Amino acid sequence: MNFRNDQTGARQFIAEFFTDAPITHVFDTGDRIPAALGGTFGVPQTFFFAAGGELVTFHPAVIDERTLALQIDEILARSR
Amino acid sequence: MMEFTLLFSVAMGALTMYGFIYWEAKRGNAADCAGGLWNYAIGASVAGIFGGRLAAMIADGVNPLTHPGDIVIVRAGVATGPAALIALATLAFLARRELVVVLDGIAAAAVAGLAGWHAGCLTRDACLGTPSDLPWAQALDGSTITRHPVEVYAAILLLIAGGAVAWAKAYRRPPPLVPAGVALAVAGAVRLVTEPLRPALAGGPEVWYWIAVAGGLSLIGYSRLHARRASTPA
Repeated sequence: MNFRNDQTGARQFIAEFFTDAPITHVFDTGDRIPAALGGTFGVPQTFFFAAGGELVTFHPAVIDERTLALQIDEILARSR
Repeated sequence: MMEFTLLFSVAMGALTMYGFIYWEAKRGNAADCAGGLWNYAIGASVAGIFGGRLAAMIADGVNPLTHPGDIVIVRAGVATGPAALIALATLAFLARRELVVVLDGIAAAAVAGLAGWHAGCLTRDACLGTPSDLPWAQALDGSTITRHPVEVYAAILLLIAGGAVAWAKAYRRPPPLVPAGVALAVAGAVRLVTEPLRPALAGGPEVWYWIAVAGGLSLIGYSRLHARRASTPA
């Protein structure tokens, strides 16, 4: 989800780093969605949703691989 | 705020390392130059983190020359193996006139510094690993799934190892390069033992940990071989 940025910059970023990735580019012009989800105004942010759409948690700022793996493992463990 | 919590881990690692150097220097086991060892340790650590960050960026397809600002985003990843190699190479260069003495002098403090780095997880809520039902397992905030405090395991093992190396240096006087070899092997072994308890998206850098174990054992073997040759009558 692209907020606090312009679409051109975001598209260039996706083209440079995620050429073949299945990314859906959503543009939040009013910066409203992160705040509505309980996030912050900083970027980047990562929101974790369980199957069914429940928001489990979010991580502000740059996320490291260990935290990403841990939160995904948490979602998978909850669904077992 | 979240972006800078890694600094707490860095600070704990540095403080633990300095504490060990200071403690050993009091007993004449830090190459008789605690300040010098501290400078070597910090120089090697900074070079290792910098080099490891560059290696991680290149591995991720990010050009450090066109994205220099990304270098400081340490949280985005530091390649463990290259970082360790660059740190050791830097140490070897800085201490080239007294390499064996410095390697042995810094061995216990380096292992203890790693222990402090891992224990730094306590300051940023990042200690937990795979699920566990053990009595001391902890859950993430808002979760009922308890997990191994894997970084605390690593910190305890490394602290014990650092203490053992320091004790051996003080009271057993091991041959040259043995403390350095033991420290290197233990650092790799602790990571190998604890790695299965860390959630990961892909395979971890276990090969680098095996290299550390093999390198440490090679140093010990070389030291023993050298001592045997030296004691053999001509």
